[in-house]
Amino acid sequence: MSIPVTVKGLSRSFPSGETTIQAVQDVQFEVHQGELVAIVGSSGSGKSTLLSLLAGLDSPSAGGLWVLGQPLHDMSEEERALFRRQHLGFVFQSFQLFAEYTALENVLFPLELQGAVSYEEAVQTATALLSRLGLGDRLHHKPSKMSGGEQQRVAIARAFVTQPPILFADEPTGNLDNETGMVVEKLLFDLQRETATTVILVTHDLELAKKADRILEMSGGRLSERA
Amino acid sequence: MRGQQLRWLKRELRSLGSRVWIILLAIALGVGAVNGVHSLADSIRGAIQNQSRPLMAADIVNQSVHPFPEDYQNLADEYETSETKEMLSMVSNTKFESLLAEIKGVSPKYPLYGEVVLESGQSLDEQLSINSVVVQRTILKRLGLKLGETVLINGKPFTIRDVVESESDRVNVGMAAGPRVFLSLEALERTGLDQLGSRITRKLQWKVSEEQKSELVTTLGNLEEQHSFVTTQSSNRANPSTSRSINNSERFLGVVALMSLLIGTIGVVQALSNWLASRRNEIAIFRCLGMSRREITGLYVTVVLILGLGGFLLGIAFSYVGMSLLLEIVQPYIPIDIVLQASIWNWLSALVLGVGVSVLSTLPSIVSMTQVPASVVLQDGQDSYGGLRWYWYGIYGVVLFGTLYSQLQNLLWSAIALAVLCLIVGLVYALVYGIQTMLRRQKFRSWTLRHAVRNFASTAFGLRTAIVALTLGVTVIVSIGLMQDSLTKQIRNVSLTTAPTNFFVDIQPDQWAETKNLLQDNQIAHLQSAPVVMGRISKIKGVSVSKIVETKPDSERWAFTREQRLSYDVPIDVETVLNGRFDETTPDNGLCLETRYADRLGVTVGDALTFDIQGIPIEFEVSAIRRIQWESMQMNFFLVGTSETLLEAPQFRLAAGQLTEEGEESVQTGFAKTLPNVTVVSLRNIVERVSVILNSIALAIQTMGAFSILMGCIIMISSLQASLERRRKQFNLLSVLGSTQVEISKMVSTEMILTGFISGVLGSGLAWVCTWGLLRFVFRMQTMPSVVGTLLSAMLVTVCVALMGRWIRPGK
Repeated sequence: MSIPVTVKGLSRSFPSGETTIQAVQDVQFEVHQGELVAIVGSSGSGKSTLLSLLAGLDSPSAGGLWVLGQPLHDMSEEERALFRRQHLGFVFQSFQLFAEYTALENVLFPLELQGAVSYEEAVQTATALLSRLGLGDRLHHKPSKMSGGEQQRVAIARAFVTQPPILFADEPTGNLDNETGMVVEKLLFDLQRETATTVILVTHDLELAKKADRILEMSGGRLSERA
Repeated sequence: MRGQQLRWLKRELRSLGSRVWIILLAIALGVGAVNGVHSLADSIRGAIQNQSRPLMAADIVNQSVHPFPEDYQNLADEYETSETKEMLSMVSNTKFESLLAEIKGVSPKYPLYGEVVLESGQSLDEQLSINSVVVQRTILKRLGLKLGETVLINGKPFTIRDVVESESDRVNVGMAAGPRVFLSLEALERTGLDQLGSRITRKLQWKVSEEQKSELVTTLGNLEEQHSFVTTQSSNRANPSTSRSINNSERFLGVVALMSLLIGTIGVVQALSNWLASRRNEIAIFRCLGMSRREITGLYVTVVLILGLGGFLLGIAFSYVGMSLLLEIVQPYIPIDIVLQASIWNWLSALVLGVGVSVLSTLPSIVSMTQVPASVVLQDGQDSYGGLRWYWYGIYGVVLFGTLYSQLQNLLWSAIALAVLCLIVGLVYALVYGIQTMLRRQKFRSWTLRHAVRNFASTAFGLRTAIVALTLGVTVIVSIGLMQDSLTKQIRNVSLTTAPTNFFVDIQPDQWAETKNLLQDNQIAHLQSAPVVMGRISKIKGVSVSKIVETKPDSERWAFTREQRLSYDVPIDVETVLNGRFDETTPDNGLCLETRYADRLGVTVGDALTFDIQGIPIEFEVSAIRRIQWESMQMNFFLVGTSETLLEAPQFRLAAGQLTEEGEESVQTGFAKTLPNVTVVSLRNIVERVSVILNSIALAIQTMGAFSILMGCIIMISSLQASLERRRKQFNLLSVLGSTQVEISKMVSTEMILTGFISGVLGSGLAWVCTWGLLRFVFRMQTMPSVVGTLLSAMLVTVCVALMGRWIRPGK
């Protein structure tokens, strides 16, 4: 099986007036199947930019990026969108749920997008997952009727429902209090272990990062492995 | 459509929330107004068409003010025909109490279609003879007569044989000058009314099969080329003057409908653009989760299509309700039964308009939104407004052009209207930009004032666009209000102070002295009189009229072929002369024309006009063009010559003046005794009836305008609310930082006052200019729009928008 993520000489720069900001500089690393890798760094270190590159949300200025053997750096924006649909899952700090969709509809959406199963099967899968995450009685509630922790659990359910080989999580507990954050954290890690999903987790929380298999540190746009 | 796409669609429609009603109403407003106007016009045309045979009492009718040439008489022998002669004349009892009546002499076969219903149940032919007449009951009542008694027509006695209850071809019931009197053609000849100056309308009615019709129409058309004073009308075509009236009314109402459509379009664009902007984050999530641009575009285009369809259906419903109400108002004045028709063509046009405007006007925003990068999902809290690329405004231009063309039906006018609209939009944008730039530089101590002014001057949250849209909306709404105010004032501005109560027609030249004495003995006030010479235009600028009218449509031929009334020695106010001069320096063959009539003929100062006056060609030179104020109800002539040329021409006299009701009765009796050929036309009743009709029309105009204004206000409110919604985070932040709700309300109110003031003043000012332009150049009226109304509108907008700031609050 190919290495899920391979990065070679990856760079991303942004023009800023007369200068250029090097948000990511010459990053190189690999992530293996089933690994939980944490990327840490202070604010402005470039970790969010690196995450957007790894997830195909943005394209690099230079370098190469292979995800599941596919050269993401060579793909067009539409090709990357289709790739994300089939192979990637996401959990965001601000949950990023569809405000007008119910919890069930939010979780159904990736399955509908993939179109691999029937609607009835999709509902079954989504319902089961939400129930598993303790939201069996909140299926038809909109995010505005839920607490932060519940919303993040819906987001996690949405991320895992298609059983993606790779999942990206950007500060998944950043908007939650300690207690709720720990609950969410546990759920995330439990699901990751059960499904052997490769997870790349971006966080500034070192305590959370220590629970990962590996820690990579971003500083000034450069990446290094943390012991 | 696949199930999942339907589900996505349903969810997106759900996300619209209450906005969906504003969007539907905005689309419905434009669609409803446009469909309603055209459906009503089509229904009226259709009713006339369907009922044209009984209305005309024939398949084909020839009309002439002169006796029909022999060609027509010979042709008539080959077909089934009837003949009528109609005119106004006084009728009196033996005590010489008189009233004005509509006299109609008929041949035995009249009517060929429809019927004249008599009280006795007998036919008209059975009751008429050389000594008998059939009258409307009003004559019996007003003159105190009974059946079998004598009525005098031009001093000749006739026995009243029967009472007419209805006649199918009398179309001017609401505006009839007097009650009907039927008599045979021989009896009409006996009255001696058919003489120089009497205005007899002669008609020859033909009854033919469908197979014979086209051949006969062709033959009559050929005859018309030789005898241009005869007109031909067939039951397949509506009466040209009726067509003209319907077309003009449709055009006027179409302008109001167009303005409604513009308000609707502004509302649709604003509401949908704001909604799409609010979906920016969701669209980023779609992109992040792997939805393609094509799928996103397809989804939102389908949403807009459905909204357009919903708006169309609602608009159709509105239009039929609205037009039914309008019909209730106008039906009493139209003697044919009109049923609102559903025209597939109108519906299709409305559908294309509703759906097309919705989709095309939001396409730029939809496509712009699909450019939202997926990485936005990682930019928590940032809500920058993505504007449109400049080339997308071309699509708005296309949409506007299409909308304008759909109403104006003329490429040049549509292009001009679009240019004017673009100019207005550009001007408003530049003014708002300038004001914002100026305000941004100001410094204020009070933070609420500072924030309010900065917010107003902000380029974020689409505020500038919202202010421009609000200003444009105010411009359109206030324009409708000013226009209807000007038009209804014009309608009501019939000056009765010096306006005559009576006209006196058919006065022979040798009768003038006696007439004048009779009138002065009865204390007539503001007496006017003028000689009238009848003639027909035979050449214009050396070209024969019969050649000119070959290329003219029916609706325009009347200006060239009708019998003209020329006058001389009438006062002409120099203020009303627009071009040239008409004074002591005018040559003997000088002629002064009314401006619109001159335009119809295509002549100007210096051009030659040749008239046929009783067989003698007389060439005139156009010396002056003038404007006539018809609403003054003074005696006015389209054509005024000089006494040097017209003094010796065969003529009669026309007079007008003010009489009391007693004086009018005494004068009528006097004329009936000594000058029975003189017709006394009382304007009292006519003015009253016209006033009732015009009030109804004014009501119809105001109703349409009020509806558009109301809808426009709803749309503008939603536009402002959407703008406030997008600043929810700002308000929450202020609250978190310690501002009280009172302070935030004060800030919002100040901002709304500023917005309302700028939009109100700019919008109302522009409205005044637009209304002036429309009145002056489209409706050719000299009326100035109300300045007080404009100022009041500006104040009203300021107050309303300011109050909105108190009531509309974004949710937490």
